[in-house]
Amino acid sequence: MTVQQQIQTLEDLGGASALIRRSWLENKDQTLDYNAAFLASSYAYPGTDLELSPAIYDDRRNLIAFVSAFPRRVVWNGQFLRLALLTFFTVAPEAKGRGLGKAVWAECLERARGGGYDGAIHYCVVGNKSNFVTVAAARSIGLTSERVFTIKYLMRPLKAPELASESADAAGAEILFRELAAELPSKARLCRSWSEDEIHWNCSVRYGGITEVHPSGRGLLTAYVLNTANTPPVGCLFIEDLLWDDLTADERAKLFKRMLDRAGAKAQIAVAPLWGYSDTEPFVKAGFRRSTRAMHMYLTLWNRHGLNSSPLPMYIDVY
Amino acid sequence: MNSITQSDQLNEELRSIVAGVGGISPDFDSKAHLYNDLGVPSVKALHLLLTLEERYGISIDDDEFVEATSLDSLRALIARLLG
Repeated sequence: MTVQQQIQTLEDLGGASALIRRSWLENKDQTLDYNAAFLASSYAYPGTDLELSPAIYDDRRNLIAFVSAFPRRVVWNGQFLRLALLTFFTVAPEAKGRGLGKAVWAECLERARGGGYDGAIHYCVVGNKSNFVTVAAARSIGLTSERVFTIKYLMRPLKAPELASESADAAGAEILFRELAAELPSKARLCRSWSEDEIHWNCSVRYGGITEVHPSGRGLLTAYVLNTANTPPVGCLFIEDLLWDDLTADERAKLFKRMLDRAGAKAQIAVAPLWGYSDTEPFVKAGFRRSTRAMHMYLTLWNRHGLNSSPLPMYIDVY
Repeated sequence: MNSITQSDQLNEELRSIVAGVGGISPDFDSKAHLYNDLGVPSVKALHLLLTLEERYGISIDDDEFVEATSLDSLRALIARLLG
């Protein structure tokens, strides 16, 4: 039986979470606690199709390789593109070196192409072997994965707040999010586009999500908290959407402080990717420092819209 | 002789700090990549940066710190900043 014939579809998120922990902790990379609840939240993203999660099981039905893909819609050069965001790429330690990772990755791209997507997006930690495996897998089916950007990060330790601020009104936050995000295509060349359901997921459903709204109703930040997988775990605040360009510098600083104070109850460190679509001066003023961590971003487009122009600055998420 | 002694002292102190903050064994190769080879996570790298600034009373440029990926290169950076 060939590897291709063995590829099935992911069935059990608990098993996937356990495999991620077992496999990734073997690596020297910092890994996060992608527990079953986090994966369930990820798979609850509107429009997610489990068929885009090819998996390989051994003879005892143990999961030994899989990759997940989630839908993202972006605007690039005035055109809407449907991209499959490939992530959670995992192979069991005892199954490495047999081409299983390359097989599930290529299968995922094939399924996305067959499912009407325009292309795929993925990220690899700089220096990680997955940079080679994923590009080779795409090449094996005649596709080209182009490294379009290296994402740098800012980080800062957090302290537990003396007073926790109240959480944002969810419905109001979602309306404001829609309004502010709609302004971004004029600032980002490759810009994420949101449906109502996706905004609801982002602001109100996602695992560990935090949404902070400025009292003026002119600015909003989102983030989520996820622990590292090592012992003892470190709570990490991942800052996502910076929708604050209509605020003054002072208002941004206050909004930012409110978010960091609130997150400080659950997280010990804050992390922010640098995309270039919004003002990051508040990060510098708040004492953020450049991280040693960096991620390569790849685009694999089979409908070749826009590849002749730089996608920077971008507004998208790292996953 | 004195400068060699000071250099050795800085080297040993840095080795101890890196091992302690990074959560790795202190007998690591001074040329090894702290993050890719030795597995010091980025979270701990930030604490290492802040610890070094506080210990030596210096301000370390973020980009220079990110480029100093081994004990040897870190020692050269700190020695230069200490003058």
